[in-house]
Amino acid sequence: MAELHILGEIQGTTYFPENYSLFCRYSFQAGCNWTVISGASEGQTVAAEPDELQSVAWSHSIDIHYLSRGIQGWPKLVLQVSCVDSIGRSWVVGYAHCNIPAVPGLHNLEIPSWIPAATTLTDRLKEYFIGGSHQLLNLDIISLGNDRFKLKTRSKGIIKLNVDIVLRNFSKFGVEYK
Amino acid sequence: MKSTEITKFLVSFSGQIEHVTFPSGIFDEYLYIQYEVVWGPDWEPITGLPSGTSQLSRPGINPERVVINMPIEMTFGSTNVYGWPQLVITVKARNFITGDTLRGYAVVLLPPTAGRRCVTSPLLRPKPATVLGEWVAWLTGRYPELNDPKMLADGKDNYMLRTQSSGTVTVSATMVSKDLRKLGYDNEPPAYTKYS
Repeated sequence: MAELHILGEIQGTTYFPENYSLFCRYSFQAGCNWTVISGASEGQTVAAEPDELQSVAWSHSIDIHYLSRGIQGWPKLVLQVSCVDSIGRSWVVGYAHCNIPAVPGLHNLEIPSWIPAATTLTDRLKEYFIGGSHQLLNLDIISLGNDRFKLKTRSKGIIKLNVDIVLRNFSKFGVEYK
Repeated sequence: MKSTEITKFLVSFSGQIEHVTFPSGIFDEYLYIQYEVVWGPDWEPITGLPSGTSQLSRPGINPERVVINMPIEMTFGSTNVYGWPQLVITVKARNFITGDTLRGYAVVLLPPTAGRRCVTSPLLRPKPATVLGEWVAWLTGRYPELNDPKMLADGKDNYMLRTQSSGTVTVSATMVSKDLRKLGYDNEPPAYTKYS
């Protein structure tokens, strides 16, 4: 069977307007043809303070080994960035997803993120003075394209991901990727 | 003897920890780095030093940049790509008054593709957990340190760490492999990405 290795790191973010420590929860999602042999398919990074250029460094290592019986449902990464303020409250400040490239070698990915917008005036005032944000109850919407029509969102910062892809035996099964 | 009996591949890394940069500058201090290489369960080191400490170094005309030029050479044998070696770098400063203080940790993945690669990685420093700890850190100039910096490389747990970042470290390394492709692995980017 073909194998896929994802090596790399979640490097950090830039352009998040929040001036608090940020952390990221991530999970790899793949179709039913894929099984994780070793490595953590979900996790959480450290909570890091932004520096003077509004960028946050996490340097969170990723190392996952997938076994594949078919290329349907190629792995995706679902990311959820949250902030922790000075008194320990935390709330979500960005959602994002990205496809893992099917091409071997190094990929420096910059993933844009978004958040459900505060639509009413009271919500906006609350968000401005107290903090907090609207959150998704159903996280499937991050990686699926349906039912997005009624969602109102705001743009947020960029998540930087450096991944190295190593494929094994894909060409033996006739899969052409380059 | 049949050539199909190969079960193990060899990878050799050679490179250097080039320099460290701090945007706020380094004054009246010597910097040094310690490195450790971390690898997975199926890997075994064959030659080379898996850890080391550099010289004490000061910046030149540019106060932001401290050249280390620390050589790294290691060869590994493995049966599995999982657990690819990573370099954990600890940057410390030696000062006349406070002694050795931590400047940050960085984790760098050694290149999984054949050829040379130059990586600049941010440095992280754990923050004191309490307000009192912050005052003590501010007064003494000493920050909390990790007991075992290798835990940053496993990527499974974050240990509820709160960090701040300052500065970067630049590492360049070349990877040469043997029998990796014979075992069915493909780690080479296609030709079009090299020119785009």
